[in-house]
Amino acid sequence: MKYSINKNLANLTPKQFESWFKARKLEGDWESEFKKIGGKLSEPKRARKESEKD
Amino acid sequence: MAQCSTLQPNGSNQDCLVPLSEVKNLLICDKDVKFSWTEKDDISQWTNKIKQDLTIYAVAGLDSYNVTTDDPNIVTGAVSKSKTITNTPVPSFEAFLDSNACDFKQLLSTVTGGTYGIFYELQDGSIFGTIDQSGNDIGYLKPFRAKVNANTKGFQEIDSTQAFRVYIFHTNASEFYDNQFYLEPVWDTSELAEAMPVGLNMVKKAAYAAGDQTVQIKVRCGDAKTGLLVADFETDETQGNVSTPAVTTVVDDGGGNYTLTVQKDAVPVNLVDGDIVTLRVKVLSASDVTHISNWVSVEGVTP
Repeated sequence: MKYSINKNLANLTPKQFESWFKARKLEGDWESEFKKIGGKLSEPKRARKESEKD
Repeated sequence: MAQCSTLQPNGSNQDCLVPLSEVKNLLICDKDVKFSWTEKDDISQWTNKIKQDLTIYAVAGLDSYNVTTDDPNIVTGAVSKSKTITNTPVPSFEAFLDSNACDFKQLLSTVTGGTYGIFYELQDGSIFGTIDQSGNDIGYLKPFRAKVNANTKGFQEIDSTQAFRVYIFHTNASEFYDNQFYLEPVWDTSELAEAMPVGLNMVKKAAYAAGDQTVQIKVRCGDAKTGLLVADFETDETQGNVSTPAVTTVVDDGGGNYTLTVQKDAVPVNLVDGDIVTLRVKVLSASDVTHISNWVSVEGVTP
């Protein structure tokens, strides 16, 4: 199934996009589709600095 | 009684008499279209209005036309027995387009008697319009103001080419007789019709259900239009009644068949009873419109 998603949906929060994507029952992975239209997933947690390690 | 001016013939062309050329084609315009003195000679100013602003519709061709302007009213004085013209009839025409049924169907639903602008392309390659000589737009070339109404009696009559009819009723005699202007461009006016976007025909295949509207899209009177993406669909908030109408996904089912997800609101949800979203195909190449379809109204259904 070949589909395209409206780029305006990149303005949604990742959570909003995820629930919209799953409600639409679209094939594929919502995160990669979100990124494809220019959406930004939450910043990945920063790796702890060396000095902060036990 | 009207005051007569002193006779001032203003000279004549001593070399030849140039007969008024016949009309070759029509340019139906938004009534506010205008070109400044320098813009009028630049073909890109004309084609941009055709394929970017969509404010000029260059008819594919004209098959024939009739001049339907009334004869002037001539009265004979009861006592003097001499004749006098008592009015200036406003020009009117009935044009028969060289069209196909699919293009004309769009014209029928669009040009329904409102006031438009009309430029005439003449057989000698000139464009006939009116030049503004007063007010805020002095020196601007403008189309004539006219009520334009597409009409057909249905089928083509036997041995006739007069099914695709457009009535043109000018609304102002003065701009036709007093301020007429012949633009003689260095470019070929046939380039204007060639600048027209390709017309598409979009039809709904079924009722809206669970967010989806299935449609079939074809080139008018032609083949299926394939390969359209979500960015090729345009919604019009003014023609619908929901906030933030959008086509959120487009699934290309092949063969010109598409499933459009049509939704509303900033966080998109499906349409419900009473919701209306109006959409069309508008394919852009940079700023130029290359393909355009009719508007389709999608009516929401509460599951």
